[in-house]
Amino acid sequence: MRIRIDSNFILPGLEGVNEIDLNHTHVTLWVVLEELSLRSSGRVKFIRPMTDLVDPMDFLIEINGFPNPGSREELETRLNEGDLVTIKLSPLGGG
Amino acid sequence: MLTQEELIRYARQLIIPHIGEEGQKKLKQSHILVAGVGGLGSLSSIYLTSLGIGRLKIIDHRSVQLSDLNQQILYNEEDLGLKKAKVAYEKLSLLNSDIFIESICEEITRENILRLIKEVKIVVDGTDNFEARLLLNQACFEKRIPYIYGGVFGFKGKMTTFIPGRTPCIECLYQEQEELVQTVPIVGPIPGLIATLQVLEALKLIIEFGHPLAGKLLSFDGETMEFNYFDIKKRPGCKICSA
Repeated sequence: MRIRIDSNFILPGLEGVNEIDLNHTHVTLWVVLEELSLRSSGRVKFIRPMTDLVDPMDFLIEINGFPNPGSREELETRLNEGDLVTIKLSPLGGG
Repeated sequence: MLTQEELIRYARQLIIPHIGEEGQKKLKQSHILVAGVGGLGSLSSIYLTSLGIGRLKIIDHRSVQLSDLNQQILYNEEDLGLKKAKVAYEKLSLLNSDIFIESICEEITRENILRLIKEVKIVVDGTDNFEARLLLNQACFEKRIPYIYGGVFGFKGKMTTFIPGRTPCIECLYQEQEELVQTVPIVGPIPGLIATLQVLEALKLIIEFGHPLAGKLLSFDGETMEFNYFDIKKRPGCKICSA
């Protein structure tokens, strides 16, 4: 299944590539994020170890332009062929 | 030319080959703006002052609150209710009376931003909101001034150096970003760390040594003690730097 990827930084292991092809019949956001982590050789962990969620202070996730909170339940969101997953570095506003 | 007193005051950094007297003269001739003297700006202004930056401009319109004292190390209980820019000026002047410090009690706005950054060579971010950061970003881009961004939240901190014409700008990363929360949780060592790294970046830019964190965003997680680096990219159509 082909999933389009966009981000505001260069995803390690995915330089110059804007989609991934997954050999799964059942693709979830979790599967995509773990695949991207694997392709970065573990450099980037989108799903926080031991917590099973995406910390919104690390990354903001969108599916087809709609925010996904990256909670355990939302990571199970099923994706379809051609869906766009956007990963942004979170802004830290304090100072 | 450095004075005898300066040779003594800065002796420990003068013996670093990449600084030396030439580097110290560059520091003395430099002009830096610290935009906001809160958690980040408290520490960055102290280190910039002690480094011997020739002209330091500090801007903040707020007053010292009790809830600032866990992370804004320039201030103490006697300063409560006083304007931060004024207190900062007094304390920094005690630290180094040789440098010229200008303190401005104004909020950064679209109307005053170009006046505030006039003649400045580097802007060090100490603001606490993205509205001010986007204004600084635009003005710095227009005037070709490096802008050293820092941001904190809880145990996390991020920083990068935006260099107009060479790197993406902050709007490439964050467009019209609304604040995620009203009150940002902060634990003192995080702005301390990020501000220290911001000053290090400023120092390297001034003495033209090493590699600035240009085009890379540093992310620190105090919970896991992990530093991570991300190559950031220009956003096609960015209204600031892609025009």
